[in-house]
Amino acid sequence: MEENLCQICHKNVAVMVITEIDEKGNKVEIAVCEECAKKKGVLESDKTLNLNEIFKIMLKAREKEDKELKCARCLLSFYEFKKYGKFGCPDCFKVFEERLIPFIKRLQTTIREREDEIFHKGKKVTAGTKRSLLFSEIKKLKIELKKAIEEENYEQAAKIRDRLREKEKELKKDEIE
Amino acid sequence: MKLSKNLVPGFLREISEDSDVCISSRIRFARNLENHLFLLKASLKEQEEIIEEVKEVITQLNHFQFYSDDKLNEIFLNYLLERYLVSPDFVLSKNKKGVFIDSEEKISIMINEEDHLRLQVLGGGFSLDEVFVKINEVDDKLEKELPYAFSEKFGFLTACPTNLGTGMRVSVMLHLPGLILTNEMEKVIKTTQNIGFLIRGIYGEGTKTIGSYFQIANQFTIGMKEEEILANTKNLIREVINYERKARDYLLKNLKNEIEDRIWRAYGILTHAKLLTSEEAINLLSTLRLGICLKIIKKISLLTINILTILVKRANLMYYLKNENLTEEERDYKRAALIRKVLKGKGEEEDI
Repeated sequence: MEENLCQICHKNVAVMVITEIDEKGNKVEIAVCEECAKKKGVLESDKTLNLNEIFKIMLKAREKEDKELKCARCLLSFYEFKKYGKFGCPDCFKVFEERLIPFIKRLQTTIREREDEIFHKGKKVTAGTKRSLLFSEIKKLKIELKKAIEEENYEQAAKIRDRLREKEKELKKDEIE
Repeated sequence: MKLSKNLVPGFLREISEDSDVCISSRIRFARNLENHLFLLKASLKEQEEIIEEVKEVITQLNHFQFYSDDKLNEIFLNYLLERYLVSPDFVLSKNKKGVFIDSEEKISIMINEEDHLRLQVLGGGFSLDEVFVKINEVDDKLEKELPYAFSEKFGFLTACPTNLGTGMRVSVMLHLPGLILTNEMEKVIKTTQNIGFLIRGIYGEGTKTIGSYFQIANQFTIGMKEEEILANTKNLIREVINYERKARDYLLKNLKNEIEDRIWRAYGILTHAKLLTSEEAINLLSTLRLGICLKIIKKISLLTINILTILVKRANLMYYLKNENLTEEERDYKRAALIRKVLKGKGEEEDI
């Protein structure tokens, strides 16, 4: 399990817990492998092999990571996704994609093995829908952009403009294909 | 007393060659709209917008009746639930919700249950192929007008990862008294679960089932085409149907007197009791159903059992009697009276 890997090299299995000062000047506990501990100058005799402790620290780190991975559109974090078991919007899938693939495999197969990763093989939406959706979104974003400029909310306007460009690019790509 | 067929949804009026075991077939698709947040995050205002947008499209497709919050009171919601037209989650949900139901009561489209849209089509007996054709027709029509949330990798995007991909749940309602009486049910449940399918009692909580009714459904929704999911689920169901028939043959060969006694006792109570709870009524009607299938009871039809099994439920009984204020005891009394009226003399003759 990746959960047990050293938090410095991410390669070897963690065997001990050391205390460090992070960028913000806070004392943090991290789980490391023997090699990295040596590099950090931690002596062999200081070694505290406590699996329970290591596991707790790993879990905490994972939790922090999960809380930071957040969908910009609906503000759902991966931590909340795991807690509720539900997505917040269609954009969550792009943001969480990498983490989702193993998760879905666990959830959607029996113990008997299937292919490594499972993806959709069924029915697809037709191109017409995708295009009509893009058109309607572009229209909506243009209205929002105009409104944001009128309200002199430039920060918001910049955000909308970025999304608008993205959608226009998608539409063009769609036309070429 | 003769009951009108129209008292039950269309799919429960259809009796076919597999109706001795398979009561009904159902497929549902979970769909969401790209331009809205899912229900975990959508505000009440956004939920209303979703209903309005979907309503605009669906009302163009004819013969749908729409019910929204103002009409969906507790009793009406349970009335629809007892007829399998909405889900338990829909009844409990605090979302702004609505449901479209076709005039035959075979198609229902729930808005703002767990997903923006839950399409479901029901059919009588073991008719999953026809149901599959029909739900695709509805889905294709909606897809042309509504911006479904979809990704190449994950397919139809659903609120819960257990529905991802096809968003398709294929299920049937089976009557399995033979497997219960021969103590084979435990084995069937374990095997079904081990190979990746869901099985549960239709009525009652957890392992406590009423009337030997079970639902079998596919568990996995991604990584396979809809047709594969359908074929795999159908294969399993066919096996269970055959196994149930074998169990019934065994009972007739080896325990004929006991089975006959059980069935005629059920008939005796149903035709003479003065007070019946819905649970007892459903249990006894289930035994009567077995009697009809084993040709021990000859003058009562499966259709009559289908109609009564719906009518004896709390909300449907009150709707049928046009009195929403009946107390529990009044309901038990009227329920027993209705059953007596319909079944009396039916040991002798048939008029449905």
